[in-house]
Amino acid sequence: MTVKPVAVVTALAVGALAAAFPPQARPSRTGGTVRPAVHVLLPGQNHIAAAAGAGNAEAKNYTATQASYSPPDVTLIDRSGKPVQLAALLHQPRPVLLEFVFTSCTTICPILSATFSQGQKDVAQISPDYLMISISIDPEYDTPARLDAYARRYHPGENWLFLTGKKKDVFQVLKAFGALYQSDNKMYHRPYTFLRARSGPAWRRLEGHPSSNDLLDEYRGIISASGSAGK
Amino acid sequence: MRGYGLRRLLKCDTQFRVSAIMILFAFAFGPQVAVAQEGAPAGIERGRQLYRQGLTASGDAFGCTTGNGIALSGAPISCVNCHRPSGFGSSEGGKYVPPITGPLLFAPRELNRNRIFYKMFKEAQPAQFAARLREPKMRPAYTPATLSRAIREGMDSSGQKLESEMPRCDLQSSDMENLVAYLKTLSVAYDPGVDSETVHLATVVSDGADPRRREAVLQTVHAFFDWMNTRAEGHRSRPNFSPNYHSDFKNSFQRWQLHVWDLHGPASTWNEQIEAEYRRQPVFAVVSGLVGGPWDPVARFCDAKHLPCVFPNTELPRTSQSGPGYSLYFSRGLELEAEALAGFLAANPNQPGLIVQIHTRDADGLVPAEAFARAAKAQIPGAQLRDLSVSGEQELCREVRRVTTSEHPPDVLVLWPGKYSAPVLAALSEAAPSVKSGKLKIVTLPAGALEVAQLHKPLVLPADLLFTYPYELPTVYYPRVFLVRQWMHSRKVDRVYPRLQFQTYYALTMLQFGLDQILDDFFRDYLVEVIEHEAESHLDNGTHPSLALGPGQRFASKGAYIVKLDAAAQDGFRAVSGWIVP
Repeated sequence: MTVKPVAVVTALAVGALAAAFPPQARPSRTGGTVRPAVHVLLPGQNHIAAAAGAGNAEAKNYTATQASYSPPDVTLIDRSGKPVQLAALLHQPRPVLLEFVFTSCTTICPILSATFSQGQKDVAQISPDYLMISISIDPEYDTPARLDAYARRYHPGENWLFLTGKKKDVFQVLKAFGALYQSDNKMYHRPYTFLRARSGPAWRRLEGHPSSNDLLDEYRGIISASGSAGK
Repeated sequence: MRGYGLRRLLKCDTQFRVSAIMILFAFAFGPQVAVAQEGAPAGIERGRQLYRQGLTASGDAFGCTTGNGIALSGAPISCVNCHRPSGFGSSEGGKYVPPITGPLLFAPRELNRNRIFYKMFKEAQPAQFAARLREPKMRPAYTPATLSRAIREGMDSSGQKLESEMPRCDLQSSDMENLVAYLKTLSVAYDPGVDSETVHLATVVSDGADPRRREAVLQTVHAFFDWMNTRAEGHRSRPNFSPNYHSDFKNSFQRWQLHVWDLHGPASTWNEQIEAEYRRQPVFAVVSGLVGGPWDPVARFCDAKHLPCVFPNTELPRTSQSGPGYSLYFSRGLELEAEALAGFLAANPNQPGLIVQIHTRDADGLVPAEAFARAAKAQIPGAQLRDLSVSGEQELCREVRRVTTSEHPPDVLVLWPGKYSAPVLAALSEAAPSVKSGKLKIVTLPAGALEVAQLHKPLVLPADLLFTYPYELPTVYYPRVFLVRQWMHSRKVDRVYPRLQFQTYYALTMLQFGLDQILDDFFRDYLVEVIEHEAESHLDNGTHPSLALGPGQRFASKGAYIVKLDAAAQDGFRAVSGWIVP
């Protein structure tokens, strides 16, 4: 696909405007604070190709935004039935990768969890104290036993927790992460992945299906942006 | 499983081994001897195994990679996950999964908005989903060669790249042939029970069900069918009058023909009776219903015939099968009540020392008693459980009086009285003055006894009388209740058993929405998949706190409350626990 001159001019103009007027944070309907989407420049891509609809570069299969979330103080349950206090868990000064899945989900959750599975070793090399968390959005069906059976398919390491709990508590978590779905019907949930370099409200929100490399690039990006790994 | 075949071969005796190796040679070097010739039943069956379980002909899992390099293998990668058992695809998480039935794959793409109408206008999916639905993606008919290429390389028959989430799988040629052969047969001919004018549907009742409740269910069902048919007749009589694109759907305004399968006698004879009814007129689905005793015989028929049985009113669903069957249920009924009770007692800071359980020997007694014993053993290991199985009303009441008035009663008395709730409550009343206060703390009964207890004169027992209650509490507000109540009023349906009739209305609603969405793709698996998808969409009308299914799920409500009588509370009872999900 050739790059049209009109697209180049438009992209440069938009870029200039964006630089002159940085996006303002605004409260979101779902309780977090969201800044308008900032177009992500990934290694190997440039403004022109992106604006032209990924002329030469591979179109990425996801979008990314920065956001600010405060997780609620609820107690969830891990796949062995042990209670886990979410706020305390996330208060630890560790990088976190978080996703929402459910065990009877057949379309997007296997891909989301397989992405985590494939990325585990590489993430561990970047930061040994990372935490991967998969939270069930169908907690009444996803008992610890079912969650455990689901988890085993993806060969989780020690740093990967699978959590379920009471419906109202999971609802609070979804709300806190701006991940509520229409009609409260889980079939309308979206493929989100949330990344955080260290404790605090700043998270990176991915929507879609990043490849393993994409996920690692994003992860490296937030780690280096935070100054140093694991602080 | 890998290498299983070879290891087994090497262990066999020499003669067999030689013959087997010669046969293998023939397959390996004899290209004319295909494992699955096109259309050969064995190949189609192996293709089905590959589609449904993600296993090759030799029983091995195979690996695939998505368009952007995510590796998956085994059950999570089987075609059925995204494309579903009917092959009609899915819509979840903002992703549209297109249909891959035989007639659609092996014909050129035709633009048919009907099939995606619901997804386009009634699903709450993001903009990318809507954009994807509106992409024409025209292509010629697949051939075996181009279909193999699609699966291996992710390119459709017109050379366009498939979605990134579509796995690219490196299957052996023989497995690919099997899969192609299977796909040719996938959802080709309509399921029985439908023609251009009529959809035949059944409801199942039995003479063992309470006659007044049976009548309430049937009155609701008849009224709903009449209402649906009035509307459909209106649509059919004016095919060219087309507000809201009505004329596009002219093939989907069939009349609903109700068949009441009225079963008599013992449950062992039901299968024969249902078979006779079905032979007389096959039906597309079974909706609601009320039988005395377990739903099991009907469930087995539904599974054998791949017949959706949509939300029967039963407290004894079939829970003992592996894998989802064709009956969709409100909840696990008495089994769930028993497990929730065990959970409640386990969470009590004063754990019981001795629990006595008295139950009748029919399914209404045995099923919850066994479930309670299992759950109590796991959750209250410190408690001693004594189980008393009784036959008949007299023995039941005698044992209740004996246990409650004994010098050393248990801490907790758990009762599963089957249809003898009224006599048991009377027995408890009689025994009450002689019950030693202080030792017996709790007496429990199932939800079925609560209605009877509410009609009873106030029962004063020096112990807590609790009921397991797997339904919504009367204090919770549901806007849809008003709609359903008004509908019943306008259709002159007597609201005698509200929860039962509202459950029946929900079953009918799910059937209606299911048929609305499948339009004229009359495939039973597709109906089930749509109901699985939409059960959670706020169509529940207050019978349960929330009703939700999902791919492969069969029990829409998963928990229960523990309640006690309270004259001052709404409807005369209130919860003493939260919602317990065992």
